[in-house]
This record gives sequence, structure tokens and C-alpha cells, in this order.
Amino acid sequence: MKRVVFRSRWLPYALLAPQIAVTLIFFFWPALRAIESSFFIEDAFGFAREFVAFENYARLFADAGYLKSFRTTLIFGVGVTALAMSIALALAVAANRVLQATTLYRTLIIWPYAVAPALAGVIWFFLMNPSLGIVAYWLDLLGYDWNHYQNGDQALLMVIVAAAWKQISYNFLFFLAGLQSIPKSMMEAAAIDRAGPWRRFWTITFPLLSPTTFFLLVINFVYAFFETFALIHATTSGGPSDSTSILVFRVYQTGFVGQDYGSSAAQSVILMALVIGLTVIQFRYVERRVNY
Amino acid sequence: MATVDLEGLGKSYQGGVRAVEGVDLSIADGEFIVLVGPSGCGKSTILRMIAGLETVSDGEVRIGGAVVNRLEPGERDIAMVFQNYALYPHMSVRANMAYGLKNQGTPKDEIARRIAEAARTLQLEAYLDRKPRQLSGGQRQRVAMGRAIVRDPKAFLFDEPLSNLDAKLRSELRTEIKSLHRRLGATFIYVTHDQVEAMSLADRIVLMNGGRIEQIGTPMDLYARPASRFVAEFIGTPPMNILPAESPAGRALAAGARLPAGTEWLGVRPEALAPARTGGLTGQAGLIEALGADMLVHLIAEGHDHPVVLRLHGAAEVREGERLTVAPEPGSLRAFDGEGRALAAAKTFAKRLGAQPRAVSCGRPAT
Repeated sequence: MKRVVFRSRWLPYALLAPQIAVTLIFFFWPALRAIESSFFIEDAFGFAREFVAFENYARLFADAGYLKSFRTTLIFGVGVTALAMSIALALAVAANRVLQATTLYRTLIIWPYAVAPALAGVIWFFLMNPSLGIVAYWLDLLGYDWNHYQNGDQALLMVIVAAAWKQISYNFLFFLAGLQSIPKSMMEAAAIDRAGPWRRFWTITFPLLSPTTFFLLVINFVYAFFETFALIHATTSGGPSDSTSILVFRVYQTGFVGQDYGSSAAQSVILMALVIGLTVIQFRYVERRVNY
Repeated sequence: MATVDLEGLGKSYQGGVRAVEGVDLSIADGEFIVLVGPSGCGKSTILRMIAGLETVSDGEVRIGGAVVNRLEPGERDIAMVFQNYALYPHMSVRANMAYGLKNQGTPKDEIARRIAEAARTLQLEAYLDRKPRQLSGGQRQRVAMGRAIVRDPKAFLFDEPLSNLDAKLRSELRTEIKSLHRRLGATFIYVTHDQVEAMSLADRIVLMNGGRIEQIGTPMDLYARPASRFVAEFIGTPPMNILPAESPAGRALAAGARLPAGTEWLGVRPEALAPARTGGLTGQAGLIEALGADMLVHLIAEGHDHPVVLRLHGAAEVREGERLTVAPEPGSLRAFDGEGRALAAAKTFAKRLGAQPRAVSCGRPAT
């Protein structure tokens, strides 16, 4: 760690001030306001509010719709993470074999990451559109009836694919970097030790990638839980019949559409607790468990 | 254990770069062969071709008489020790050693027996349950050797295994490798850029230069009868003194000797030069390096740019600035032609010039 010595005592604080100010005003303040609001029931126009303690929370956990949304979010999160990570890993392993082509390959594969989530959703929305989407047409040729306007499972599958597609490039970059940090001689030693390519991957490469994998696991869950709002909003709007209404979408739905600020605030506090939980896991385990 | 034969072995890369060319080498069963040469001479490439880590462009690699050009590394039944150890960092020392055996389906008790034996040989018993990162560099390289031993392979390949270690450990492990070879009696092929390692370990040295073999021979062969100027200057610290035959210094050195036709360069080992009463090369003692057992004197000879280095006994009394006359010991002068090749008649011509008998023995390998 590099130590810097400042001549004046207030200079380090002055340099940190803008960052601290941004964090306080845009993150801590709203978070505190959300926690505060979650203890009140407010009328739709914001003229009056009543302190109700934990009633908002109690109602949420009694609401079958909210509990279903938990389940949907879990399926969505696991689906997106599994899909995005496994495809990215396969692509990274392939790219790592042909080192010469890596730069071009890497450049091309990073593009989806630059696509805005809403746009990514819309692209897939069109591809899968039952009446004019090419993928839906292919599925139809295969005799499969695709209609995500009516079939909730299909709608969920579609947003999972769209959300995963966007995250693949990010995962790919990290996996590729992880793969390239594994010394070549280690794979050669394994080859001499009579391990075939498949066994080499599972006994050497995969365990050595575990820090990267764990990091990405947390990142992908956070992404799926919290950053996919625009995607859902632009494609299914949570439908049909709430089948793609993940927690973060429900916060918006309850607060901005349903005007129930108290409940919306309570939901966002629950989400916040989830994020904090994931972050704690990440810091505790990425630092310790995964160093070999 | 097996013989290893290379026949017309060559390696070329895309773009026509030829890393190795026309290498013929027959390694006997149980022989300790060291491939040595400056970096980029192709020695590691040859080793990697034997291991199957590089494809063979031309020629053949035979292990135990069978051509292995097209076999995977794992099918060649060889073991390799890498410069950076290449231990599996997430496995314990025990698991590292067991990995190759597990892959070939050796029974559990047999694996345990072999690991116990290798651990005893290499004094690793106390470390079997540690991870590689908890070991020192020397211990890691021992584990890497253990991983090779347990496999009981046809040949052991070493790719600069001691380069990452400090000088003291290097000489310790050098001795260990040598005694390991004695004990196992297996075929060892060892790559290094360090001529001291080559001299102290090898049954035979293969000296490489620019992708070709410059000379094959026992360490003493290479030291005493270098086939070329390149060998003469590569082997030995300090290297052989080389002087133009037609310069005043060269003529003084060869005074009275009949040089073979075509001699352009003269070579003489530092320890083969001894103070003489008459004749020989005269100059002024420049820099003096007292190394304890012996002493290196840089002699500034008239009519020669580079100092001529002599190795004298550590107790010799020479002061800087002193005028010295030295002459080569009988039979120690080497003659090279314009291309740097040693001339056949070189060893017979030198005649005694009244050199004094010395306490220092001639032809001792460099330190």
C-alpha cells in the first residue's frame, strides 16, 4: 500500500469531499428517506401520512402476490446467472485456445454490454414477437407455439434470455482474464500427467477460476435482481399476469403506478437488505475462501 | 527407463523462423544429458518436442525405440519439471503427487506407497498436507521432482528447474538432482543456460547454438577440446582467452610452436597460462580478482586490446602494475580457423617453453 503524506491537514478531506457528498446526497439520503417512509402510510397526494410502524412490512409478507414475486425473482436471478455465466465461460475457454484471434473476438463480444438494458429487451422482444419475430417463426416451424403475451413461463424465459445475453460479454471478459492468468505450464504439467482436456478443465482450470466465478456469481445476482428493471419495463411490463414481475419492478409498480408509497418504500428496504447481504457475502468470501 | 533418440529433428514456426534444425542425438538408457546454450538457441524447444508440448516440424523423436511424434504428452510416459514449478496451487503436496497416478488409474494403496517413498527420498514427509504456497522455492521444486518420481516414467525432463532459486539453494538442489539420478538410474534430459550446472551434472553435454548442435561430449571433452570458438568461449568462467594468431600478442603466445595451416585464432584457458622465465607473452598485471582458492589476473598484453586472463594459485604474489611473462602449458594451446572451427592438429604442436611447474592443476572445471 502506498502511503501519501499531505502537508496540510484539511487537504485530504477536501479531496474526498465531492465523493462523500455525492454518496451522502444521492445514496444515503434517499435510503434513509425510504426507511422512514416504509413506516408510514401516505395518502396518494402526499398531504397526510400516518405512522404505522411495521404494518407495511406485515402486509407485504401476507400478500401472495409479493411472495410470488420473490419466487419469480429467484427463478429469474438463478436463470440469468446460470445462463450468462455458463455461456460466457464456454466462450472464454474457446477464445483462450486461439490467442491470436483474442483481440478481435474480445472486441466483438463486448458490444452487447454497450447496449442499454431497455434496448436489449426490445431487440429480444422483436426477435421473439409471436407475429413478426424470427425466433418465434423458427419455433413455429419446429412445431412449438410461442406466445409470450399469453404464456407466463415463456415470458419469463424470454426476459431471462434477454437479460443473460446482455451480461455474457461482461462475464466473458472476466473469465478470459482469469483463464489467461493461469500459467500455461500448469496445463502442460497436467497434460503430461495424463489428464485429458475435459479432466484438465474440471480439475485444474475450473478450481483455479473459482475467485472469478464467485465474484461473477455475486455480480450477476445483483445485476439480475436490480439492474433489469428497464428491460422488464420495456418488454413485458411484468406481465402476463405478474409472471415476470420481479421485486425491483414491483417497487416501481406499487409506488409509481399504485401510488402506495409506504409499501413501495418497504419493498425497497427489503431489496436494500438483500443487496447488503450479497455484498457482505462477497467481501467475506471473495477475500478469504477463494485464495488457494 | 528408456533410450531417447532424436533424428533430423527440426522446428519451424509460422513465418519461416527455424528454431531448431537437423538435431541428431542418441541418448542412452540411464544417461544424464544436459542441453546447454544461450537463450534462444532452441534447447527448450527440443525438450518440449520430446515432451510433446510442441509439434515436431521435421525428423523423429523416439522414446524406447518407438516413434512418438504423434503421441499426446500424456501417452509418452515422460515426466517434466518446469522452471516455475507448475504445481497445482489448489492441491496439497500429496494431491499434487497423486494427480498423475490417479489419472492413469493406479490403485489407491499403490499411490500412497509411491508418495511415501518419494516423500522420504526428497525429505518432504512433513509437508505432504501443505499447499504449494506454504512452501519455499526449494521445497516447491522438490515437490515438482516428487511428482515426476512417483510416475516412474521412461525419461525425466527438466526445463531450467533451478533458474528461479538463489545461488545457495541452486547448488544444493544441483547435488540432490545428481544423487537422485544415481539412485534412480533413469534417463535424465536437462535444459539449462548455466554452463556450471551443465558441467557439474552431465554425463554428456549437448551445446546448442542458433538451433543447431555445436558440440556433443563429456564435460571434460567440451572443456579441454572445444570444437569451436563458440564452445571455448561458452564453457568455463572466465572463458578461454582468444587472440588473433597474427597479432604481436598471438605470435608471442605461440612462440616456437608450429601452428596448423589456416590458424586465425589462438585460444588458451586461463589456468593453462603460467609465469615463465623466457619467451611467451609479456604484459602488465591489471585488475586482480582474488577469489580465495585462486586468483584471476587480467594481463594487459602489448598489442592486444582485451586483457588476457590468467588463473593463478590463490597464494600467488602478484601486484597490480607488475610486469609478467606467461607461457601456455604444453598441449594447452588451441587453434581455430577463420570460421571459428577448431583445427584438428591443434593439440600436438605446442612445445614446452620452459614453463614452471605449478601447484594449480590444469583443466579443472570452472567454479
